[in-house]
Amino acid sequence: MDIYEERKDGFLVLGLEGRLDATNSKMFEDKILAVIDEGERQLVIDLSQLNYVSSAGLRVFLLASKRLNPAGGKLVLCSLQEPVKEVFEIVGFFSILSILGSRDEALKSFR
Amino acid sequence: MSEAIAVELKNRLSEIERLAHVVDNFGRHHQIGAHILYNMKLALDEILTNIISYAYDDAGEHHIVTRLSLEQGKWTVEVEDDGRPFNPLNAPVADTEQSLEERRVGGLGIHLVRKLINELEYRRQNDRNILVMRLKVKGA
Repeated sequence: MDIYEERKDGFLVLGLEGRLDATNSKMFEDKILAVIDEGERQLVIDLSQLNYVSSAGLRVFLLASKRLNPAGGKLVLCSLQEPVKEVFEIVGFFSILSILGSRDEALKSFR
Repeated sequence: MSEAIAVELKNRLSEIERLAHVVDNFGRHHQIGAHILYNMKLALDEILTNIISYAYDDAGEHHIVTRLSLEQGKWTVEVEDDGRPFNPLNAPVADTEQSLEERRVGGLGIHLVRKLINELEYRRQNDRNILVMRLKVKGA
């Protein structure tokens, strides 16, 4: 999996490409916790290029949201591919995480 | 039984993607739909990640055997390991009704397996864990 980083309208967007599983979830966890520790409070994770996620990756989204929310921050996920969306539904993430259809909607939600 | 194949894996996480390619080929050969294929690969990933990460008390090399077979509209995948006894059928799982604050970050893998797979069986035999997962396959 590759992680790319962009700044849009002042907000940090992390994009994930490929497979997020137990072989690389620690790298993603380290990356996202590092940007939170550096002070980012409003973060977009663009999943449009992510075609596979296992529970090892799911726990990182949970962990980051749990870390950001009490700090007055917000994590927004966007552009989920269909198989990834199904996995998110099974684990009940739509009721506890902010998940939007597109990157534009995600960025708008911060205003 | 129409056709069965066995794949032997070492207890390394990188082996899971290798298995996924074998499963893809098996699926293509038997015209198993993409959705069913995805679900089985994810369930296998979860089970194997658990075994490789938690089943062994030593740091040595272990072998995990995965068998795939197709019979009467059912795709059966068996995973056999020599790790410590672990029954995924009665392991605690995440409560997906809880709020973000209440939720623990773990326990999602077994929850996924139970939701993705139609039939699950577990037995402990000759000091080995044997997990059988079955999915209905259309037209097979």
